[in-house]
Amino acid sequence: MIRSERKGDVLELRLDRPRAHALDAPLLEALRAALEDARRDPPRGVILTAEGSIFCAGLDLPGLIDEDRAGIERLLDALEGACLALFDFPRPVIAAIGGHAIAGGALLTVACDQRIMAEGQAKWGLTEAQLGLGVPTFGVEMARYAFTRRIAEKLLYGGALYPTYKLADMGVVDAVVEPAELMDRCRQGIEAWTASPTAFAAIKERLHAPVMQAVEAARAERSLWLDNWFSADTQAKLRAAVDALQAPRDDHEA
Amino acid sequence: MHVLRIDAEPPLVRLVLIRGRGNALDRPSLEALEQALTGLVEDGAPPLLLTGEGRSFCTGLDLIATEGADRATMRDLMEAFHRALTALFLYPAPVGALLNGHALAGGAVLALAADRRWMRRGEARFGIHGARLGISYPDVVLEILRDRWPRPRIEEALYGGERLADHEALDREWVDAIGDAAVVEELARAWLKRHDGSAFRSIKRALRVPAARRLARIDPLGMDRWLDQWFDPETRAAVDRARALLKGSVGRREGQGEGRHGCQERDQRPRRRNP
Repeated sequence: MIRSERKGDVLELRLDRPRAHALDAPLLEALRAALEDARRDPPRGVILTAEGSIFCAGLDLPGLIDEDRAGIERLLDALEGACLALFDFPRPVIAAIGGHAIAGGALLTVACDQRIMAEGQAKWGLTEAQLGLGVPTFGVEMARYAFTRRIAEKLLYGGALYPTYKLADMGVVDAVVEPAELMDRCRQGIEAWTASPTAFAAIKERLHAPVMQAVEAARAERSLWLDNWFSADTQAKLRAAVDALQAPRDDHEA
Repeated sequence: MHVLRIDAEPPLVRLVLIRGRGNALDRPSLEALEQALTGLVEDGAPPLLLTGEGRSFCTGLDLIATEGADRATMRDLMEAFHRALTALFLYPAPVGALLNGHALAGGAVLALAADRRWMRRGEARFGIHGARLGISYPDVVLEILRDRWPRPRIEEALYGGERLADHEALDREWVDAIGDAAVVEELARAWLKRHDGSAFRSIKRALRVPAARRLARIDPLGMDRWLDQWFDPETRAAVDRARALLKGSVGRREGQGEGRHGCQERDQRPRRRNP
């Protein structure tokens, strides 16, 4: 589910799961475990990426729609654990986005230090609002850190998908590059920021400290997100989304 | 030892860093800065023009002075840095930084704690490049930068540690204008005179409230993290190398200076002394 490969001093983590690398608890737990393993002997940086025309389609709704509250709570824990492991990693973490990044898939990239996108048709968006789901509080805090207030509100309330040129204008992605240059550009980004990897880690820790404190303080709000998942209105929207996904059509799989 | 000169130039006061050695900061100079600012506030807080003498505005912590300093000594130094920087950042009247030369590491942050910055055209660099030596930044620096810049610019500045030339500093809005000495001097004085008044003071006070609350106390955890990084063996080795370069440069003719990662530039004394 996570392909982990050390290339030189950089760790590449690839989302790798059928159905457009959609997220379920085991994948998110594997992502977190890979990052925790890497902390023991930290690489110079991490690149989070995925093959194909879809970087990540977000939560695996068809696989999750019949889960009970305990199952969805495990999912939420796993999503928070993976996002925090990315956000708190003591080296630069760069998302190399070569395909669509949707909802939870986009959220994973918000937890990264930089988002670099390949030029092309791919779109990115925190579309949770369209499903009647909010972004969980830890995601809101990370968006608050990553973006200006105006952009964070636009992304979170609006829940739209944006093309690359818009994302660059809004400052959501740090660069848009030729697809063939995507990984090299990420490696250059890591190199530029790690003249001293330990100094990077020390500065990142202090820059992120207020976010980590806010996430911790907001843990009580988790049940609100779960309540919302199981509300009649949201369930209807989720089922409609699942039906749409399962309707026969040409898939985007590369 | 003279580290600071206070020139009354009514209605302004000019605060000049004159310590030499790149006007690098040691504990006495930080305490002198804090005391000068406190005294000026007691005198009604005239608008302030902060500048330096020689080739440097301020090149940050004096690495030579930190040689052999133990953890308690470094903690005292960094607490003095916190207090001096906080006093400058919260100074109730307009503060302009006139960059006569290099503004590096902690010296760059000194400039960024002012309300406006003007940079003399020339060879000087402006950058917060401590991370290139392995040195982290304490919370006071992050608070000042958070107040001034959006997140990507803070990260680019601190993680990347670039040292910007005058035109780059202008492009990236680190400084408000660049120009020849007389031009920036005139711009700075005019701006300070134009903005001195009760409106500016009340707005500045209100804008600083959240940061002032956070800066009122030094977070011991943040300070410990900074000290851990300072005493990290790799950082020690890098600082030792930089210190050796700085010491070696004393007495030699000035010249290159730019290619190194040292937190201070050589002062102007060796320039006057022919080798």
